[in-house]
Amino acid sequence: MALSLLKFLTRRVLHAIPMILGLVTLVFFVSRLLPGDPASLYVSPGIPLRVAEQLRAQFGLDRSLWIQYLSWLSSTLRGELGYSFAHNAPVRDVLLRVFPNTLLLGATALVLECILAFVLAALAVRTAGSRFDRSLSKLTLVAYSLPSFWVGILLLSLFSFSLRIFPPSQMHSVGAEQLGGLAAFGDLLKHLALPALTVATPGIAAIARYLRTSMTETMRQDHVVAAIGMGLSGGRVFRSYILPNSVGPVISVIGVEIGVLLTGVLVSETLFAWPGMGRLAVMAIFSRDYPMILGCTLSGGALVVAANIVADFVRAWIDPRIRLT
Amino acid sequence: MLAAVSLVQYRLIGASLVSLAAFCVLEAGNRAPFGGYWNAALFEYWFAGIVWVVTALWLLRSLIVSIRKRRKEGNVGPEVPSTTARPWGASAGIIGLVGYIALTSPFLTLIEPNVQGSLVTTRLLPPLSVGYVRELPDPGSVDPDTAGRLHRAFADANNYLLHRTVLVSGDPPVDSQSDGPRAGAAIRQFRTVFIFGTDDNARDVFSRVVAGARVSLGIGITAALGALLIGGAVGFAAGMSRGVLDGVLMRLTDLFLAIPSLFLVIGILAFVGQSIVTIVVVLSLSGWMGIARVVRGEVVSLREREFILAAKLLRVSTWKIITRHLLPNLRPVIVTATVLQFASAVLGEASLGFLGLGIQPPTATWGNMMGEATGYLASAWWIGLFPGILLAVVLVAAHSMGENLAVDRNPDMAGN
Repeated sequence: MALSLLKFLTRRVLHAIPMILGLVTLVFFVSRLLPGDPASLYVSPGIPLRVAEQLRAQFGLDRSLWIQYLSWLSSTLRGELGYSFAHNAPVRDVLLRVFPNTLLLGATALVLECILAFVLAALAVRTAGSRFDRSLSKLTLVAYSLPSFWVGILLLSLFSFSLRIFPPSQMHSVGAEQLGGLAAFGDLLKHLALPALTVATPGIAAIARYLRTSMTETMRQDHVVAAIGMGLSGGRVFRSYILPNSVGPVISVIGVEIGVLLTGVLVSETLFAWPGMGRLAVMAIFSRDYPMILGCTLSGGALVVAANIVADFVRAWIDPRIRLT
Repeated sequence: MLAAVSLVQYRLIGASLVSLAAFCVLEAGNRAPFGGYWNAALFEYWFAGIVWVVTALWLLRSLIVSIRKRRKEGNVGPEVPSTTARPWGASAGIIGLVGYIALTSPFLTLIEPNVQGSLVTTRLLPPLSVGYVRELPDPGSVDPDTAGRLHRAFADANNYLLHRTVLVSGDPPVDSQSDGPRAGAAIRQFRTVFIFGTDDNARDVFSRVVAGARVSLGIGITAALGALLIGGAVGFAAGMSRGVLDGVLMRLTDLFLAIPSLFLVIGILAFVGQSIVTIVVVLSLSGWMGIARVVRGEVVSLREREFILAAKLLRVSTWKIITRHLLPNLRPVIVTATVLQFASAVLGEASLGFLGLGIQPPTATWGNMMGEATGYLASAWWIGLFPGILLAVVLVAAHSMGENLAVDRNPDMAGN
């Protein structure tokens, strides 16, 4: 790894530290400033005042706000997110248990987004100005605007209930443990298809639009014109000149899109009963499991921060100019 | 045309207008304003009544104008449409139409959105099924002692608006014996068609879609304006100040951007509970960052421009520079960002409703209707399809309007 890249990465990570601190602070103050005392949730109104006070002390709520904040800060940064009453387990353990599922769904959706968006954008640029290009542009605008849960509902009623191709919910079929390796994988893929497509739809459209704009701008630049003038083949110009220069800005956009993707994951997991973080968060609200809600919000925020670091890193890796900024 | 459609509901419109007029007269003569006669439940009827009257007057005026014109100039043939395309285009028309439906929604539906029909005969009926409606007055209606004809009219109208009983059934009413003491007292009874079918609670999906438009769009617009207020203030302050304040405000914006908005929204909602007000506030709080960034960028670039520098050199006061030179130039950026924020607020509200965390039923919003529909995807597709179509249409229209506005401002972007 080049030294400049390492430097850039270090700077970027250091830059993220105040973000994480701010995130933790924000979540703390949101949870404390709003009405509703975490202790009062687990206490019936009829119990003696002395017991209630004891419970408050046990939660640490009798101490001053600043002390509470500092202890919350230290425990959160050590990864202790509290104890989930609905799951009867530490929040961290529950989150770690479901995180791979969310990662699987999110990563599949992201890969799907990148590949399809690239194909669409390349097609659009190759046929720039044609009727195909224009209708593709309209189509991506529509796809970008559609609410992801509606896309999910449509996919669900079409592919699960009418055509019966894909299963409507869960991650595995009943009895999937007994399947062999390849069959179990196929079963998982079948369950993954619809949720991943639901999450990916708006992202495909958004990234395809950015990529198309970026490619069109690159094509107008002098060095590309010069390359064409030198007689290089169209494919060569596209691969060596247009593509590397146009993906840069789009990678930053993908970093930002991770937040949108997570929102999609939340909705899609609920709709398809996918056992992941988003569904956990929604169920935590219904069961008033406050430590779990805060844990989900925090880890969601941390994921976005991390995704942005990765995106910046990839961008700097592709384009050395970025490392200097 | 919509105004004509709503003429079917002449009784409701009449009652609404009578109620509004009586309220105004009574309030004017009242010693303690907004005391005795204020009833928040009536407000939507009054508002729809005002909109309806304004529309009727406007139609009348344009009719008179066109007749006069024709008389004066004879037959001049069709007017030449203006060739300069407006940046708003068809998408603004669509949003306007849905907005108009939302405003006059109480008059556009034959059955109240929250009225449950007979669970035996009208539950989960497919679109275009036939149903029968009977409207009965409230038995313990007007207090005869109420003094004055005006009071009487007010009470009568309110009674009709708020307390009439609507019976919906899939079978024609055979006999009115079941009405008991109110037998034969039906205000009216008619055959109707459930255009969009009925849901699992035997409610008319069409009425709920129309009524949901009001809630969904209302929350969207208010939340977008709230986000504009916060984002505009933050962005403007950051753009005008160099150095520390700018840095702090922009870090704060980045911080809010880092939290996936729906996670933040449900995190807050979990603590404060769901109502229209909290949802608007929360959606504003989670959506101001985009506007703040755009406004800051524009302010930073504008304030170095020659005309601002010239104004400064001419010793124009800062206040005047801001109001005369900066704000008017910010307008296109702000309008575009707010339109896009409107779309994402509508989407946010719908997502919340879909997850069951938004406005709670029986109040209809497009989101919670679709959330309720997920249980009937295999058997009753119509419950979720129609609110979804309307939601999708509004979102697509808002996004393409935002796009048109952006292209209008910056023609280089055209062709994307």
